[in-house]
Amino acid sequence: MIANPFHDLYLSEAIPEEALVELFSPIIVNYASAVFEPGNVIIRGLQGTGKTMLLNLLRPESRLAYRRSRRNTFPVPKESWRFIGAGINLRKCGALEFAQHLSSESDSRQIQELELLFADFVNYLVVQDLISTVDQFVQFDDKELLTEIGINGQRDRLDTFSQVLASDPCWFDALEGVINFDQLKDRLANRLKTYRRFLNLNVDELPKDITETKTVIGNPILKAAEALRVSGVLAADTKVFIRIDQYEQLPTLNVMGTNYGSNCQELIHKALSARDARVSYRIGTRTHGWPERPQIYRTTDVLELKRDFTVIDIDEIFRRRENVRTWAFPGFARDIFSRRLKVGALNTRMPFGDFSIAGALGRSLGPKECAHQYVSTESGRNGIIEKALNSLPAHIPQEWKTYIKSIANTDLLSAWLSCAWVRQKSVVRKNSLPLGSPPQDSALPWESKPYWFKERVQIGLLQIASENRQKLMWSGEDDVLNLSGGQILVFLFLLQHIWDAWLRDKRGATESDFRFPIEHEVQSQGILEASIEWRSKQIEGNNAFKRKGFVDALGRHFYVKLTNDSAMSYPGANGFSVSNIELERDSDVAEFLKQAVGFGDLYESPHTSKTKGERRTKYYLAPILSPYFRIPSVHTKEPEYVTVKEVSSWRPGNISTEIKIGEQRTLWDDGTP
Amino acid sequence: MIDSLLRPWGRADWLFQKNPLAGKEWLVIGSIATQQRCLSIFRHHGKTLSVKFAGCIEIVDNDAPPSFSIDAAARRQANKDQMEQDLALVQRKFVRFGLLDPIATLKPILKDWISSANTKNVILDVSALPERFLFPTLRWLRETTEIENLIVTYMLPASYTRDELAYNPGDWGQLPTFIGDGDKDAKQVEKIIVGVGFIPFGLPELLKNTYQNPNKADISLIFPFPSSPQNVRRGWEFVRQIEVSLPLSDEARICRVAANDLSGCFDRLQLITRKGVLPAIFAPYGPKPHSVAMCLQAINMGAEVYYTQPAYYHPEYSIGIAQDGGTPLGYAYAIRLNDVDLYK
Repeated sequence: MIANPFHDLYLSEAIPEEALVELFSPIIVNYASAVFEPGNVIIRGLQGTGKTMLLNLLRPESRLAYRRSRRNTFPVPKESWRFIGAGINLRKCGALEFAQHLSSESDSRQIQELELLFADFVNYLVVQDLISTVDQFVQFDDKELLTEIGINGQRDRLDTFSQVLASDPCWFDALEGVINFDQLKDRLANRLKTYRRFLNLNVDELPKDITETKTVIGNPILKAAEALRVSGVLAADTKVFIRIDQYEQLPTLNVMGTNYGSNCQELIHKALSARDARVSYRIGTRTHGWPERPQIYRTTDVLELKRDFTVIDIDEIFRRRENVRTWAFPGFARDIFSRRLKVGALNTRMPFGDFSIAGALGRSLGPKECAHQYVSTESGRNGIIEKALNSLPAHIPQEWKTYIKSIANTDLLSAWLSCAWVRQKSVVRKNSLPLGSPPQDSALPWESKPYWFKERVQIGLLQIASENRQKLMWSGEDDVLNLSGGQILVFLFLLQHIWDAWLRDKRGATESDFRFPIEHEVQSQGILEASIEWRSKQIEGNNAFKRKGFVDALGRHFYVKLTNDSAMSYPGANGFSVSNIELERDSDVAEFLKQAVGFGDLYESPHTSKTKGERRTKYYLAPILSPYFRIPSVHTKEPEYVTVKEVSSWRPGNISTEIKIGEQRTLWDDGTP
Repeated sequence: MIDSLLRPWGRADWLFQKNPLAGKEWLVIGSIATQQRCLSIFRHHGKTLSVKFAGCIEIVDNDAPPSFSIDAAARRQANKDQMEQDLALVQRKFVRFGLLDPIATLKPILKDWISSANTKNVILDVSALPERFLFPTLRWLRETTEIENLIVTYMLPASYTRDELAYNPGDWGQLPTFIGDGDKDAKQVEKIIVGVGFIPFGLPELLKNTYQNPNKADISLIFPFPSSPQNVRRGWEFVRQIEVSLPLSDEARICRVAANDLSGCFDRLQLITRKGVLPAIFAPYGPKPHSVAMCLQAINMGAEVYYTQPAYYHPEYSIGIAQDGGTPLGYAYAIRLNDVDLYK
């Protein structure tokens, strides 16, 4: 049986390292080399853009897996190989649970105490992980690797390290008496065990030997790195990277009217503010998770971009540019695709030699082909154009009607666009040039205005499909890359569903029947299923219900607007643009939009306004939702200019509105599964 | 009864009239919720049991939109007023928590109730208690050695809303007091045990993201069956969504347990984890009796319990009270009887 090579969407912390080595695409490293250089780096991006995948390269397990692999070299530039990494995932490590001890009666001293305990817990966890990293490399006992990284794991050096570290004043004598490596590990583990009892609410209070020896955020980590070097365990030039993942979780701890979570973030900022070459931090966070003013704990100072940290924005790296040649995502996606297929071919009896997206999915259908797919019979084409001609204003000259009719059967799309052309020229623009006569010798009206045609192809196809009650077709490499919107998770999600549809289509077939490219209709079905499933997933996180209602209202608004625009005056109306000044005035709407962008419901980018000097922001629905809402995924021309009030009107405000939207949607779907 | 331990459970009106429970006076810990069934167990007072002290946790969905919260507040108030009336002669205390509030302060409150009630018999009514409160509360009660008899009740509504039951689930996180001992990381977990409910929210992907490891961890789904046809259908949709991301290794990964059979569910959990030996995590999305079984097994194992806690619930999550001849219907489960823990 042929399996779906895209069934596993994630390369996460839990994936076996052997698989990671085969599936990891080194292309992302080319765009994020700062991760392996000294200095603090904030890695931000939507869920599934590759943050964790990137951070995983800092883990010793990944390094060792590459070492074990004969076929794959560690995908970091060789000159940056001299490093070790350690860190925590804030959601999984239990640190968020300190907030369980807050109460409405907590005074500022108690809240501060909990903040400082959070800091101490993080210090101990990270130092424990740092030691574990060294331990893993030492246990692996590969001399070449140890030299490559700069580790000397001789027992006496490890013991010396333990003594140096334990005697440092940063611990306030909490590690007093430690004389060897095992004792150090035990003491750290015991303290963390006591912490876990406290976090599990098994004990109401921490013992004095903990509360009186709280460490300052970041200090023990610096001291541990220093002690590793002083004792000769770590070479002087070996870099130490500290991962802190899921940083965006902390504000969820702002409960009971406190700023507890934000203050914990400020503690992390404090660790970064040390700007100490001994240790560099790597903070993983979702889009918008990193504050604009990262304030340092209990000060008015803020971390400064470039001086205290740099930012790697994975969404930005893979965002589609105006100039498609500078778009980095296709190369990344192609590499991941071919790796998946190769591993799939090894693990299953997949009879393919072509591991490219273009080979598997073929090219996307051209506009003409699409139009003929939507209306496949001559009578259908004639009927649709006849109807369109009948709805044209009465004063349109007959010669134009005859012209449009003559091209309809061979080029339905051009005939349809010609209807819009004559509408625009005769009615919409008062001061436009006279319509004139139709072109001769099979020429098309917009011959001298190629952009007029280019900008209206998608809306034309949408209207034709809608007129004949057909779903939009999506297939081929270009469509899949466009719908992925620069998110590798979405790309894999689409392929997972295309493959599922294909396997379903070929059920009962023999392996020799599986041939590339996959049929367009099958791909389109898989993509539609992926879109439906993606939309149904948008019920998670803050304000999810409102965001879902907003996305539904917006999708429907775009669909209706585009299908009703028979003159095609606003072909870019699959997006909207709002003035930045208006957004600044209405923080509620601004925050809502920011949240929707943060969860990947919307895409935002700066918009150059028609009005000189005006600053605006444009928003589009995530492209993966386009098949579900039957709107084009390509962004052309000007988006719809709207006010904050209009944006607000798309937000569901009460139960009745929400239910009404849901009911309308169901009716509108007419059979969409 | 493979281990020769009888774990009595059954209809509440039946169980409370059996020895050694009959005639005892009870501290009843329940909730003030929008659901009317939060009143059910107290309506057994004077009929099948004697409530000596009532401790009620009112849980407020702070993040609900006004359209929900106004309705929810009115329903809670009505239920509270009704409860005051029903328990006019009973000593009672109320405490209010936000749904997502820290809950460490609940522990001393429970202690205070136990001490004030001056009885060694405690009923925890979980009918309308969100998992976020149910799990730590049951843990603390189980850890209170002064309690001789501990009973969990689950009372039935007349019906459920047809709308979404819960909204805005948060990120995948451990339930309070179930963060584990930290000695195990994701790779060491061998069993992922999921209670099948109505909506898995982000569970499938979260599971996959965190625990996908084909060499070791495998998933077991506790499927409530038999159940009503509508619930079975919703249960299968839940399974389908899990399967999309995490293929089940074989059909035996789906364990069918009757929705109200807490004891049977606990036995299955014991089997799956080989009496708690195999490192496991739990995700209680299923019916409350299954969640209680998971809670007890997680306590036994020191295991982590994960959940995507919704930010608010539908005010009409359930409607009315199921009754038989005027007596509210529901199930009661003996967790500790005469100082013997039955789910160890």
